[in-house]
Amino acid sequence: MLKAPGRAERPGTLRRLNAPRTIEVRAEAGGAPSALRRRGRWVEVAEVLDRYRTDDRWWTAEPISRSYYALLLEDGRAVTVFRDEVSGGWSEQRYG
Amino acid sequence: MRIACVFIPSFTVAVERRADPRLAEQPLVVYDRNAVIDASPEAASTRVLTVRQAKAACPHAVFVEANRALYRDVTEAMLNAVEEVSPLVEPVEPGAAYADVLGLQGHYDDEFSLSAALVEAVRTATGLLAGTGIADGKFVAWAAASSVPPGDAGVVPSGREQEFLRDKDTALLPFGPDVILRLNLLALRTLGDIAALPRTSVEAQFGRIGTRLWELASGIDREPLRPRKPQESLSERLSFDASVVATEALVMAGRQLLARLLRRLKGRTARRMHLQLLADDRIVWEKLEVFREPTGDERRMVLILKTRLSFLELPQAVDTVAITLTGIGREMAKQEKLFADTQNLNQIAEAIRQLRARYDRPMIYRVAEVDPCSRHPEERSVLVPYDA
Repeated sequence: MLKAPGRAERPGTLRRLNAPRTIEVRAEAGGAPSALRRRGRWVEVAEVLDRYRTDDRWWTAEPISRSYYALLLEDGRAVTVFRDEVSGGWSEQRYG
Repeated sequence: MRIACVFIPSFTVAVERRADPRLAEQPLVVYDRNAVIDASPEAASTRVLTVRQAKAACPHAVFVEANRALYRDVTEAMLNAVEEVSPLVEPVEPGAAYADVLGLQGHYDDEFSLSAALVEAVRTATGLLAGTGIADGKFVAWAAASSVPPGDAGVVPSGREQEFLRDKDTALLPFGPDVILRLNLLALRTLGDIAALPRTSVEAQFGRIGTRLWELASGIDREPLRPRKPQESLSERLSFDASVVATEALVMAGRQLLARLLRRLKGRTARRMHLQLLADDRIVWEKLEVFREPTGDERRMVLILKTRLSFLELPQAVDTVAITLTGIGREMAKQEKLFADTQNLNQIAEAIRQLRARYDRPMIYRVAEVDPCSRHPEERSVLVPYDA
């Protein structure tokens, strides 16, 4: 159902809105992000505003398990990222 | 809880006398429509009468029609002045307010100096002399403020509320005349008489209000202060050289005022529009318009203004139009339809077909909800070709 984030869509198919984009993250020992790589440079996290976890479809062959972090970055931007607890990768979540 | 009560006795009389000093030496009755709402001490007997009865009872008094707009302005000035001393202020009625003064004592020598600061702030802002009372609880503070002459302060130390209230009249209690009359019939003339009774006896006699009655008489008042929220408002007024009755002129003036207000609104929205028409600073007509949703749309406000004013039948000519916007909020965007003009839909469909033919793939999409309640944002909606 959920495909790997950041994959290009074939022309003519349905396109998902707000598809997560893979992102590089430096995380603290506790798991919370301390810096994100955006447009080629590292931006420090000023504050973790919120964190929550979702576990879904654990009864299927493709379970979803994500740890979300709402972050305030040093440059003043607010972003939401999540760690895919199944694959271990990080993605930025956009909201339309 | 340490509460200060700031109280201007016979507020409307004091405001009218300030506006016209010639009234200072004369018995004065302030009325609204057909009822007396306040009177100077010399005409105190008229306070519960109709205007006709009052004129018969006190023929030498000067009768002045209530100027609610002026009382509102003076009360606002008074509240702002009290807020300069304490940020937590609760309006009670025109000319009376409570303020939370806990923690302010350190800024003054004692609570009398604090009271003096409140009196001075109100006097500077309104030109009126207030009495103040400071105590633990609103009721005792009110009793203290209303038992001192204007300009003075009544301070009741903590723990001595009951002693202070002991000889005070039951008429001070915030209950209707029927309750006060019943207390008098039971020979309970002072608050001390009530406090001396067992609480259960008062509850048995007065039912639900008995508990509060006994507690207030005993100096116990746990009612919290409910401070007013700071609220931004924008006001503009326009006065004519000569009085007008023509509604076209009023609408023109209103449009001009709205244009000025919208410039000051700077892209934000307003929730309410208060329209006032005045003659000699007295309200002839007023209307508070609450918008269905906050708006900063000038066209919409003008439409409402025109609707309200165009068919208005004024009882007299007016010389001033005033508009106040309140409930000022943040900017709000309203999503318009992309293709509102349905006549052009065929042309748009043709353009979309040509784009698809030229690039060999859909170029225009629309959003379709798939699973709007999904916990994963990317599953909630998809883009589908507009011509699919």
